[in-house]
Amino acid sequence: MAISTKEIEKVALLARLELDPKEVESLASDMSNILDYVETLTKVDTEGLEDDNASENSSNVLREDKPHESLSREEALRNSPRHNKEFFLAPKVIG
Amino acid sequence: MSQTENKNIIDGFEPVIGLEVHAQLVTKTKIFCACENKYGAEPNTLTCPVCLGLPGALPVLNMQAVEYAIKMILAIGGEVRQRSIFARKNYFYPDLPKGYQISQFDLPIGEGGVITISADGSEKQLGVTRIHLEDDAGKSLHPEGSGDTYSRIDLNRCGAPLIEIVSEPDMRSPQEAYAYLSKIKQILQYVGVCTGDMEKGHLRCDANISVRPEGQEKFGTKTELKNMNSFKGVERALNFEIARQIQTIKDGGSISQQTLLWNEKKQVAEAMRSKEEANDYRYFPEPDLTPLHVSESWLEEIRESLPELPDARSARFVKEYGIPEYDAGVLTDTHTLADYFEAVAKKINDGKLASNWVMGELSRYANEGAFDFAEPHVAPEDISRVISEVKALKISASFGKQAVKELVVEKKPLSEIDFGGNQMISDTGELEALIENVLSSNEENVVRYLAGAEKLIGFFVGQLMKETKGKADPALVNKLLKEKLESRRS
Repeated sequence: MAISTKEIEKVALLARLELDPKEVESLASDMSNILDYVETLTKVDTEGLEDDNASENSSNVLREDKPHESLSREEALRNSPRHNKEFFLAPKVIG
Repeated sequence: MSQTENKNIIDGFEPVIGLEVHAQLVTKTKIFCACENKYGAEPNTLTCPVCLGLPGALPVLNMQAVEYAIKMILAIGGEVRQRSIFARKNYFYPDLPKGYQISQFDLPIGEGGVITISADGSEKQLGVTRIHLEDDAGKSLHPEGSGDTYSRIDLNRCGAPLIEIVSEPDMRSPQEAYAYLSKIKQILQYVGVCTGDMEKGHLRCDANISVRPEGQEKFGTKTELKNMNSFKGVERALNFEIARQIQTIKDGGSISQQTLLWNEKKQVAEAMRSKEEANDYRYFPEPDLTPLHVSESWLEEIRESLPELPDARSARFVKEYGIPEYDAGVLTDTHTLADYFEAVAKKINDGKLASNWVMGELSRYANEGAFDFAEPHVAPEDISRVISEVKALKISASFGKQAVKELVVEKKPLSEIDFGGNQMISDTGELEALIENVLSSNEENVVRYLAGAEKLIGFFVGQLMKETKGKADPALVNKLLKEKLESRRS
């Protein structure tokens, strides 16, 4: 299952990744290999088996509508590359 | 041409509108974590590893959010799926730390439904395609003129529970879109799942809009309008975009499919930059959440908890209280107003009178901001007492209004309202004596009246009311006055 360099470029754009042409080539080949490998699974005979997954038959996993304590603002902002102690700061998107 | 005139045609084109409404649910906690779902808290104080999108954190669905979604689906006559699944909608934006929104794609919790609006005096049914559950993003603030090169991100709202209500492309004018939105808001408030407050962003609306030549079956190319923050804004944005599309086509151009942002200040819709618009969300099933199963018994339980809906309630008011359809429509506008009216009507056992006072005096104070049916500071029982006194002719209507004012505006307790001292004077003898006084001290006007200036009856009534501080029974005063005046002709 080959994946084209065009597809790689599109996925890269959507993922906001800048790739040079060499990387595009090598990624196309790598990802084609991965997809081929996974493709092997289609050879398994699933005739007569229900379309299902592990979680399907488990009962609902739901939560009561009860609040827990949230993180302190200090903790929440701690791992952010840029903040002003009140807000996360991100490069301006609009205007 | 024999076909009926289509009022929605503009310059030979018919608009086709579909709306996507996002309603924030009034749960105590967020949809996939137990952080509080609260408006107006200090920035970034309501977050946890789940809503911050930290690695390894797992979402768990809020049962109340599911129930609220089901309530709305049932309220508009939609189908609740027995099994629905969640999906990831992938896109990058600073206020979306996970890098994807958890939404529902091909198996939403609700499908179908109808919103009935009145358009041009007749009813029109507008289809709802689907209702699905999803989480909200955070808020980006772009302080103007601050010179900041950064946007500020507040993630308190991130993970708040939303339902998205997607309509069929059934609307044919901005007015219909406005009516649809008002109805959606009304139903959301009735079933108690959303405040409907657009200013706070609890209700948001995007619109899909296209135009087609009159008589053409096929839809034209649509554009998507975003960023409207009021119902009127939606109507204005649609009017703008309809005019733009028609002009473009008439000038020989074609419509390109794109997303436009409504600029309320400039009153124009502006195209988004194409980079912001990478419209490929690569939906795939959310592996962190199990499918949602809604059992028949759960559904029944929720169905039974549904309140009476506005249209049904309005029809019942007409039947049960004998009030006009128009009044019933006004009184059922919000469920809090309807509850208030109904409490008064039951208490005084008179629907029409209750309607007059609630729609008249109380609604006026409500419009002036002095009264709130949602949080009434004067109980319906207290208002009922005043109306009962008027009905029993113990006090005059004008004193009744004065009493309502004292209760509502001056916030006096009922016990301080002086019903006794303001007993209506309806004793014929007492009034006749008073009338004699008024007439004899205004002989000149009596002569003028008898000479044909019959309008002066108002003057005499006024004098008498002044004498009695408004306590005279007006109907009786009118009758006695005329009799006394006539008797002077001989």
